This record gives sequence, structure tokens and C-alpha cells, in this order.
Amino acid sequence: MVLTIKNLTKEYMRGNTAFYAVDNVNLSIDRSEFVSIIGRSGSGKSTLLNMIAGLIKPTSGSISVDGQDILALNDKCISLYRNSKIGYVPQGNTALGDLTVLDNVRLPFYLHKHMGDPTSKALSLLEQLGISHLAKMFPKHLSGGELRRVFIARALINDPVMLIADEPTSDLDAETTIEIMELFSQIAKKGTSILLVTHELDTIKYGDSVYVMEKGKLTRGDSVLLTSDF
Amino acid sequence: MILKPLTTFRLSMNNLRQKPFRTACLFAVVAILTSVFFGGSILTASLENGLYSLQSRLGADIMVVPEGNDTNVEDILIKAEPSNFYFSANIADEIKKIEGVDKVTAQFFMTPLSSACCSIVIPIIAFDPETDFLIQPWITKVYNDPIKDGEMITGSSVLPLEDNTLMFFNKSYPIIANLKRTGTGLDGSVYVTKDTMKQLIIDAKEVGADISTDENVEESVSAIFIKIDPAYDSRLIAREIKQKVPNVDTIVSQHIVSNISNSLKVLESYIHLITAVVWILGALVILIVFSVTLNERKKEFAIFRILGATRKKLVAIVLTESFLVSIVGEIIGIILASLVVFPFSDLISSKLQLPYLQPQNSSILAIIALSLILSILVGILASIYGALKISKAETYLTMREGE
Repeated sequence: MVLTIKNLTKEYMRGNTAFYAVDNVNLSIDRSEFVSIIGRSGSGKSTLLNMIAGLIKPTSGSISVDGQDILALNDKCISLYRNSKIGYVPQGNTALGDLTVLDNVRLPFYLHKHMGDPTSKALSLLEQLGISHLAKMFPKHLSGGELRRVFIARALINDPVMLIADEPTSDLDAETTIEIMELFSQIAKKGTSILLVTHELDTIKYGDSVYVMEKGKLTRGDSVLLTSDF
Repeated sequence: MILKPLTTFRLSMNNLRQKPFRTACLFAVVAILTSVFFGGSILTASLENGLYSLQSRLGADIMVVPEGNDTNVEDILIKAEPSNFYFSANIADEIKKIEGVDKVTAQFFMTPLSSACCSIVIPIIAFDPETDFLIQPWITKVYNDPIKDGEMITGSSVLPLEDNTLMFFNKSYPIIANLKRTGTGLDGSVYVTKDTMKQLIIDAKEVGADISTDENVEESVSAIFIKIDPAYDSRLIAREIKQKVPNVDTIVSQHIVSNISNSLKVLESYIHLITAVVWILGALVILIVFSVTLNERKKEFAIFRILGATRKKLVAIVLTESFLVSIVGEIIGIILASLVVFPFSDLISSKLQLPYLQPQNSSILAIIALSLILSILVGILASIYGALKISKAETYLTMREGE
């Protein structure tokens, strides 16, 4: 298994009342598997994703990625994990405006020690994603769809075992959404596991399996989807 | 395609380059801080150096001048102003008899009053090489033979003609030595023997040139300089001279030095105060600019964290930026201050009316190094808080704030 989550819980306090953003979640993702999690805003899916990315500490439970318990890692190790084991495509525009497209993609390579030629690899990724002609441009000159491709390339630069994406198509038009989702499918077919959270029903058909997140609880979603309105 | 690695240094450089206005403002603040510190330090070092030079150059413990001219002595020593006070040369013999007086030598001052007659209008000081203990020690540092009649020795700021002579009253005088700079009025004087002075006065009369004296060099002197036995107190001997020799004023060298030293202390305290105020304000400006800037860059640092940057890496990026700002600002500041303190040192000296002697290159380099250390320290201290704050920020929450 690439990802194994057991009894994961995140509890927050709202005033004096405790509420569970993530409530006793269990999830496993295999190599090359493409998993979609769908849910309304505030259902806890982004919290779950951020816990998997090591950005939020859970209240209880365990997360194991590629056999490694990520909750036991210190800052240096969790940073290395985020840099090498996973590729994270966060919500919204997360480009570094001072760097060119090519440097945005190359950047994760230089944050820790890696072997190889990051420039060739970044150019190759940009080529595969159909935006190599934008390599020398700055992010402000790119459209939403082009930027999303840049973030995917950036997430793949260190050959992660799993790509996690938070609402990757939320601000894209229908045509670009299809292009991006097909890209994710291709990436999964090449061996990288994909975990994607979304609130758009149109996108879930690209995944191998679908889960629904509601009030912090994660359930297998194939049947629920038929009756839910997202 | 070969591209440079995205090292911490390059990322910091890139950030500075991409925000030219903010970077220029930071450079300007550090440059102002450094130029004030460097300029102020060079100024105070030059004044202290000048005072030390004057102290060691004075050589005499007591100076005796005609009554009412004690204040003029400081003008001669510091500003090289023309003087025309004289008294009988026999006074030197009377002073020699006083107990505790070790050495006595006299000098005769004369200044041409018109530039038409001479290549330069500066005070000419006649001394007696046989009794002199003031100028001779400085001459031996640059010239081994004794000065002869018809020869001249110049202070450091006196510029000779091309053939290394000076023209006075249609006669040319060879310059045998140029004394080391002292930062005092002594730099702007010419030194000759009594016989040369006699000849100069005769020549001046022959050509009808105005000079500051019509006294006889053999019978009159302008000032008598006394070296006392170390076992005696110079102030007590000065008092005894005043009692025993009529119509004279005595000046104790220590008194001149302490007077100048007092003026210097006041000036230095102002310089230190201004420097301290500018540095505190500058440090606050840098602190505010860095804090505001880092606050604006919270999302940028959150992205770095998402991509796998450690907290140390974020701190390193911020501190490298601050370091680069400090270095560049420091260089600009030193260049700006140097453009003022070095080319205009003579003007500063004349405006301050205090002995002013630029420190040696090694001291200047030490001041540059100290300015650099201080500017880097201020830059780092001003940015470290923001850097640590940004590194400890919760990435997830920061990203949400940015949405």
C-alpha cells in the first residue's frame, strides 16, 4: 500500500464545543490507484488532505505513506517527505511569482538533496504537460489551466509515490477541467498514486474509486453518489 | 539548457531583484546608517588623531609669548594664522635661570602679507637649530643633515614649485624636507634658520613687499618654548615665569591640549548622539519594513513549506536577503561617506577649527569592517524576529489566509 490511514481524527474547538473536522477515517490507496474524495465545503476533506501532507497534526490515528509513519517525523524529515514522497497540488494559485515557470517546477528539486538534472527533467515534464513553450514565462502571464499544469509538473519533479490534489479544477472551465483530469489519469497509469479531493461530480469518473466526505466521516461513495447533490 | 541551481543565495537574490523598489528602499536605509556611522567614525578618529599629533608635535611643556597673545598661539598651532607679536630675545636667558627649566628655544614668526611677492603666502617660522628641540626631531624623521642657511623645510600641506623650491621676495629657496602631516596649523608653515629669516626680511624691504614684522631677528622673538625637568610641575614653573618675567603670558601645553580635548569631547558626543539616533531609527525602519514585507510574503513561505522547505531553509532565505541588503547598503554607504569625508577633509578641518588628521589606512579598514559587522547585525536582528515568526507559522492556516 502507498497510503494507509487508520482511525484518523482531527478535533477542533469552536468556543467551548468540540467538533470533528475528520472523524475516525480509514483509507488505503494502492500503487497507481486514483482515488477521488468528494464532499461539500467544510466537510473535512481539505483537513484530511493536509494531514496526509504533514501540514496538520491529527488528534489521533495513524498515517503511513510508503511504509513510513509520517506522524513520527520531525520537521526536517516531514519536509523531506513532503518534498520527495508526495507531490502536493494545493488549492488556488500557489505559483511563486518571482520565479519563471521552469524555476517554479525546478524549485522542489533544490530544497533537498536529489540526483539527476532538474532542468532536463522539468523541461520534459513541461513538454509532457504541453506547456514547454511557457518555460521562460512568469506565472502572472499564464491562464488558470496553464498554471494548474505547472503545479502538477512541480509536484512530479521529485518522482513522488503519490500525488495529492486539493480541488485542482475548482477555478477552471469545463474544457480545461477535462484536460487536467485526463492528465491525472495518465499520471496514475504511469505508476503514481493519486488522491484528489473535489466537490465537482464531473471529475469523479476519472478515479478508480470514490469516497464521500461528510461531517468529517469518510465513506465509500459509489452508492452514495447516486443520491447526493454536490 | 543550463540553468544555475536554485540555492538559498540565488532565491534571495532573485527576490531582491524582482522587488526593485522595496530593495532600493532597504539599501537606502542601510546606506544611510552606514554612511552616518562610517563618516562619524572617520571624523572622530581624525579629530582624535589630530589631537594626538598636536600633543606629540608640541614638544614643549610651556610656551611664553608677549602679554595678551596667549590666545593667538592656538590660532597659530591649529589654523596657521599670521602672527605679529614679539618680545625681547633676552627673556630666554632670564627663563633659563629658573629652577626646573631644562631646555629653552625661541622662534620668530613672519608672514608675507601679499601674494605678489611670493609663491605662497604662509607663516614662516625661524628657529635656532642649536637650541631647538621642537622641529629638529621631526626633521630627522625625513632628513638627516642639519638645515643650512638659505634652505627651507615645509609643512606637509605646503606645495613647492616644480623644481622643489619656494619663491620669496624674488629669491628661490630649496626645500630640503617636507614634514609629516600633523593635521594642525604646523602643516601650513615653512621653517627656516634665523639667518635665512634675516635675509628674507632684508629682501622683503628691498622689493617693498608687505610683511607682518619690522622687528630685528637678533633682538626679538615671537615665542619661547620651554622643556622642563620631569621632576618639576609645569604649571608651577609657568606661574614662576609669570612672576619673575614681566609682560609675558605663559601657556602650558597640557592646557592647550585639554582645551582642544574638551571641544573635541563635546563634538564627539554630538556625533555619537546623532549616530545612535540614526541607528535606532534605521534599525526600527528595517524592522518595520522586514516585518511588513514578511507578512506580505506569508503565502510565498507557505508554498515553500508545502514544497518541502524546512523551517531552517525559510530562516536562511530571509537572513540571506537581510545579509545581502546589509552588504550592498554598506558598500553604498561607505562610498557615499567617503565621497564627503576624504575629498573634503581640509574643508572639514578648517570649519571645525580643530586639529584634524585622517587615520591610517589600517584604521580606515578597521572602521569599514566594524561598519559592516554593525550593519549586518542590525539587518539580522531586524529580520530574525520576522524570519522565526514566518518559519513557525502554520502552513495550512497561512494558505487559507491567502485564499
